[in-house]
Amino acid sequence: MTPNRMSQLSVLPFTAILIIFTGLPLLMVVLLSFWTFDGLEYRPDFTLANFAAVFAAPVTWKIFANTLRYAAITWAITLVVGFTVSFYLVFHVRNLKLQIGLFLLCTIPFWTSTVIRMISWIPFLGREGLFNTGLMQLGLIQQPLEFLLFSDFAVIITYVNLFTLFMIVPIFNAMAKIDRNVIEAALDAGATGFQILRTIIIPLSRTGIALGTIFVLTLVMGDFFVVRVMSGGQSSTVVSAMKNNIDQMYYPQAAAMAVLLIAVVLGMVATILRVVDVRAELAK
Amino acid sequence: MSKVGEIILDKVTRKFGAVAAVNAVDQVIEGGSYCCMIGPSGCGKSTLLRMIAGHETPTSGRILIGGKDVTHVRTGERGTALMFQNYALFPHLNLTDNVAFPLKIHGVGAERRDRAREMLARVQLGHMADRMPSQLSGGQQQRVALARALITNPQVLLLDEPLSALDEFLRLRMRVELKRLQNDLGITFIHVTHTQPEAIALADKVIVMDHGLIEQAAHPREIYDRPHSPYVARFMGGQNVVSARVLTVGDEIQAEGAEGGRFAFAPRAALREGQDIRFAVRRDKIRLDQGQARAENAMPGKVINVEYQGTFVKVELATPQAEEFVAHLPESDFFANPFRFGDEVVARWQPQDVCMLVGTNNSAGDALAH
Repeated sequence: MTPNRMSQLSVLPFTAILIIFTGLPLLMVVLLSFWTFDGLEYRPDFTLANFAAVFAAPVTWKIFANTLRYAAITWAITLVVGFTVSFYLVFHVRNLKLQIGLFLLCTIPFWTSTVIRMISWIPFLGREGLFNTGLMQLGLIQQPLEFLLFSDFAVIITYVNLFTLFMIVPIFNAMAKIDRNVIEAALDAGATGFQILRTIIIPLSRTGIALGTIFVLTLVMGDFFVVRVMSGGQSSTVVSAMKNNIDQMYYPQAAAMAVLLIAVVLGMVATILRVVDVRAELAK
Repeated sequence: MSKVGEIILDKVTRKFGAVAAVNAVDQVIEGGSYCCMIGPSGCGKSTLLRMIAGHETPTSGRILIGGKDVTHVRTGERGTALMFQNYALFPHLNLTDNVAFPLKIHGVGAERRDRAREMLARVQLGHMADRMPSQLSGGQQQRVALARALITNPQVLLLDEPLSALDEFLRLRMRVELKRLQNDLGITFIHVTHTQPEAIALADKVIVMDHGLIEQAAHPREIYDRPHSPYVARFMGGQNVVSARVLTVGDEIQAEGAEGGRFAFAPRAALREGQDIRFAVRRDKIRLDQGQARAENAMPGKVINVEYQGTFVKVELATPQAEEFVAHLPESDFFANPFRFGDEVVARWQPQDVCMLVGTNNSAGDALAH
C-alpha cells in the first residue's frame, strides 16, 4: 500500500462521520428549502417561493439584526473577559500547578448542563430574586429592578456566562505558546507593559482570538433556547423564529431560513479566516 | 579616561529564596573590552548577565555602567542590549520590523525602517529584509538578533550563550564575526558561555564562576596557564591536578604525593609544613618515559588510552592519584617512540611548569557532578 493510500485510508472514518452526520442532514435541509407545503402535505419540488417569502418578510431582517446585535455584544464582552482571564493565567500565575488548577476552575460550570446553568440565573435576577432583594435590603433601591430578568440584559448575561470559556480556551492556548524570551526581548528594547501588550501579545494571540470569535459567534447565532427563556419570549432571533415555523409545521420555510443563516455564518467565518490564517498559525 | 561601557559590579548579590545565585560579586569590566563569563550550569553567570541587562534586580549591591548607577534603571534605558540564547525574534514581524522594533519603542518615525535595513545590510542580510524570522536558518536568525541588539547603539552588548544553538561549523564562523564586530564597534561585549575554547579564543578577560562566586577573573592566558584553584584548573581543562603534602618550605617547596612521589616547585603563597596542597601541571608540559624508575617531579602510571589528535597525541594514564592524568605529547616524539595500552610509564615535568593552586575550591568543574 502506498503511503498516499495509507493516509487516505486513515482519514476515511472521519470523512464518513462528517458525511453521515453533517453532510447528509445539511443536504436534506437544502433540498427541503425548495419543497412545497400546502398546509397538508410536503411535495418534493424546486420552488424559490420559500426564499421569496423569507426575503419579503420585514420580520426576517429584524430578527437577523437582533441576532447580530446579540452576537456582537456577547462577542465584545466575552473577548474582553476571555482575554483578561487568559492574560492573567498565562503571565501572572507563575506556578504551573496553580495555573492548571485555576484553568480547571474556569471549566467547573461545565460540569453541569447548560439548561441548569441558564435556569439558575432566574431566581438570582428575578423581581423577588437574590440580587434585587439584596439591593433593597441594603437600601440602595426602593423598587425591584425590572430590566434584570426577561430582558436583553438577561439574555446577554446568560450568553456571557455560557460562552466565555469558549473564548478563554483558545486565547489561553495561543498565549501560552508565546516565548517568554520574546517578551523579554521587547522589555530589553525598552517597551512598556502597554507597548508589549499592543505590539507583541495581542498580535501573537490573534489565532486564539479568531478561534474564540468563531466559537462565540456561531454559538450565539445558533441559539434559540436562551433567548426564548431569558427574554421571556419578548425577543426573537433567527433560530427561535425557525423554531416557530417548525412548530407550525412550515418545514420548507424553516429550511430556507436555515440556509440563509448558514450562508451568513459561513460568510462571517470566512471573513475571520481571511484576516487570520488560523491553519498556518496552528501548524506552527 | 573614558568610562563609556565600563561596568562596575559592587557587592552584587541575587538571592532566590535562601539560595544566593550570585553572592557579593565585585568586579570591574573595562569599557570596550570583550569579557567572557564561564562556569557550569547554575553557577550564576546568566543571573549576573541578566542583572546587568536589568531583567533581574540585585537583592543587594550596585551595578554601574559608564560611571552611572543603573541598579534600578529600567531595562532598555541603561545603555545595554541583550542578545538571547534562542534569539527571541518577534515571530509576527518581518526582519526589518524586528530590527526596527527598539527604534519604534523609542519613538523614531518612518526613518527607522531605513536604519533597520542599513543594519541588516551590515550583518549581510540586506537582501532578506522582508522575510519572516521562521524562514531563516539559525545562523541568519542570530544575525538578525545581533542587528536588533545593535540598532540602538548600546554601550554594552550582552550575549547569553550566543553560539550554543549553532552547529560546530557555524559556531566557529560566528565566533570570528563576533570578535571582528567587537573590534569594529569598540563597545563592551559580555558573553556568557559554557565552552572553554570559546572563552579563551574571544575574551580580553575571562571570568570563571562557581556557586555564585567569581573564582578567577583575568586574561585568558593567565586563566589557562596560572589557574587559581583546582576547580579552575579542571574546568578550563588542559591541566593535570596533583595532590601532595608539603615537606619543607623555603625558596623551593618540597612536597610528597600520597604514593611517595617527590615534587619541587616555586611557592605562590605562604605554606606550612604538613599542609595538604594541590598543584597543576599543563598536559603539554608532561613527557613520558618507559619503565617505572622513580624520580623527582615524576609520576608513575599505566597507559589506559591513546588518542591521535593531529598536531599532538593525547595519552591518558592511570596513576596513584585519584584524578585523571593526561599527557599531550608532540606528534613526532610520540611516533618516534610510541606508547601502547598497558605500558608502564613515568610522567615527568620541570619544576618551573608547576602551578601551585592557591584557591580552595576543589569541585570537579563538571555541572553533572554537583
